[in-house]
Amino acid sequence: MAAGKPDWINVFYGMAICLLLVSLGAAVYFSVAHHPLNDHSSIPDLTINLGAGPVREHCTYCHPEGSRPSPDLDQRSLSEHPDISPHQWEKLGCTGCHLGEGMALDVEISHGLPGLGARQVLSGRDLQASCFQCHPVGPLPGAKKAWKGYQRFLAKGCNTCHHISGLGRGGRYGPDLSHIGSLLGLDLLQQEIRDPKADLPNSIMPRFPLSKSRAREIAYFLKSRVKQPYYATPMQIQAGQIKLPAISLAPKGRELAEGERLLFERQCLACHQFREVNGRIAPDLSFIGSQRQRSYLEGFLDNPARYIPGAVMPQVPMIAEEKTTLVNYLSTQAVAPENLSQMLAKKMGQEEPAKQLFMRLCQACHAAEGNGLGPIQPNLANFPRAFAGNADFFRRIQPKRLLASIEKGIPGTSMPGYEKILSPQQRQQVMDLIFAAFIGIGQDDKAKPEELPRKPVQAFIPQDIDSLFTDLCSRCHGDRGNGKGTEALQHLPRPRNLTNHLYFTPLPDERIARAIYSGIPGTAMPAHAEQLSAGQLWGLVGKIRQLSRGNDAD
Amino acid sequence: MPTETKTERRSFLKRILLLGGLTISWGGIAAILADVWLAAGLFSSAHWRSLVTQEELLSEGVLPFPEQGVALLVQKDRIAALSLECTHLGCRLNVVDEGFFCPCHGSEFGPRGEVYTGPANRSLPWHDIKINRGKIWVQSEAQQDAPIWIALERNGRGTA
Repeated sequence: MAAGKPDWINVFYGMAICLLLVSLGAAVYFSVAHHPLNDHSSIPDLTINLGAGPVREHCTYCHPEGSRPSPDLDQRSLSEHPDISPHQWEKLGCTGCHLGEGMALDVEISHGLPGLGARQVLSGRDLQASCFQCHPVGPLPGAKKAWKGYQRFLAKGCNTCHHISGLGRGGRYGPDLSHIGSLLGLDLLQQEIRDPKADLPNSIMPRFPLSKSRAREIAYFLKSRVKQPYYATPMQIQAGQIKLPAISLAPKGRELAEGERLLFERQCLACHQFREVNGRIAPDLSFIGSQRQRSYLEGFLDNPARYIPGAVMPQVPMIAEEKTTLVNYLSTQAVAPENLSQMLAKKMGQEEPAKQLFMRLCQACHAAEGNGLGPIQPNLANFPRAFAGNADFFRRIQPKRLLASIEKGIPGTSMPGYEKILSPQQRQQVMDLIFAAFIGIGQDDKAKPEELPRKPVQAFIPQDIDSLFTDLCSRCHGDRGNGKGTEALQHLPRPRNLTNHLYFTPLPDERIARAIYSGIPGTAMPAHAEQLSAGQLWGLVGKIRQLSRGNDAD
Repeated sequence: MPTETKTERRSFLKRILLLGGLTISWGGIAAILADVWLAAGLFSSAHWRSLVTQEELLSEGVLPFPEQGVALLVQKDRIAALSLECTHLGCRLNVVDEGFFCPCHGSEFGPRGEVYTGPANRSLPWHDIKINRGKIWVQSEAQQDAPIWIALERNGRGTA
């Protein structure tokens, strides 16, 4: 008052500022809300009720009545939506089948963002990827390829590794595919099915022999496996009331023994070879009864990785009777016939017998070129020994050991014994062929082995050996010796899994020491002769023994 | 002075009303919040779920429950619950002889859930576990660093 201001002036100013702020806020709100881009009411839209609630879409802004957009948006387009009766687009809307983002007003976003492409717009024949979101999986006009994709999904045994809701229990070895359609786009699905290792170099999924169009068919089926399908309520899914149809995989029109039928039905032949049927993923089972003992087969079916550490074969869910039938069949029927070479001669013509044997028995892993890159090599736990260009390796191996490998196989790996399949002469013939055709040196051309340093008497300090292992070995063989070090994927043959006790138990200490001391030709394993003292060398041998014993001790 | 006592009484009444109103309204809000908080527990995975009866247990080993994302580590006389979700992106893990293997990006875990190889960089958490009326109950929300072992009473059944 002394300054001549009335005492209500502060209140007045306060009110004025509030009023200003309110009007400013209102102005901003109305300008944003009624901006043509945000004013959803001024844009043509479609509200439909699909699934659980109303879905609103602006697709008809550019696609009036489902037509293709004309360059001039005001003009009506001439291309009509194809006839989709009994469906009605007015009732179904657009994004239920075509995907995309219905409320987006940007060309890029509304057609589904790139990247994984889960919402990317489907059109043309790709649209059948959406049919089984509503319809139960089965033969359906217009969705022939998606239905075929489901049949292929079973025929290729995808569900033995991948769980998918509707097919019951089992298949917990690979990632769950129950909602894969909500996560990945069609193109990515197709690409991942065809070449799983392209994206993830350490993926254990085999590369199935599928053409682009066949992989696309499986992708059509998988694209319909979405998180909130329209064919069922979440409760029905939870209660296991959703069933995917069972399909008989055994060939029709041929009388099959029960065991052989199981080979088809339990999807063994999706990967394995049995006589003429060849999955081209996993080893031949035609003579498995002569190669492996009954107890081995039984145990292997229960837990494959226990017999071949690192094997990618899953535990196939099977009831006990089926397993017994299958093992009975394999151990009695899947045996080599007496006249194997004569049989092969009939099929393969006038090739020399050893060559026929190699092509029938060895080629799948060791390759027709003898370089170990056979068709099924990428799926094996251990790299098949390369013959071609690997003369240095074979100069160091005594003939006795080579013949023993063919005769008895190599424990802990996929190499079976051929004792009961090949006669001693045949085994020698195959050996002669391998030396003559691939290795290129005489069988008696052996290098004189380097003298190994003698094992010292006093014990080594375990901590020193552990840190030595970390420095020298763990980059390739891994901290825990499982052959999965950080650099493991750079090398083929892959670094040996040092925890493979089946492989290491029969090896004499001297052989392990020699591998460390002189390296292994034909692999990435270098010689460490100059880096290691005698104590360190034998200390590392002890460490490897300890690693490979780990499983039993635990 | 009657006027003074009148004003005193009025201000006292005012204060009482004000305080009472505040208490009631805050109390109401607190009650609503508490109700929401309690109800939220019903919808999260924080509640106890029963997995198996004690009779169905293996004598020893790892029993996976992929649907629930839990694995039971069963030993001769005790049991613990380990998460079966990869600490990288949450895929369900496979039980293998060496421990656990993630099929999505190849992470490996040891038999006690300790991380061996990446891309996962944390060990698997342990869950709370209890036995009630012969059933094993697990609460997945509790994520512990150390195992919670509880004793198993095997009533005369062979534990070979």
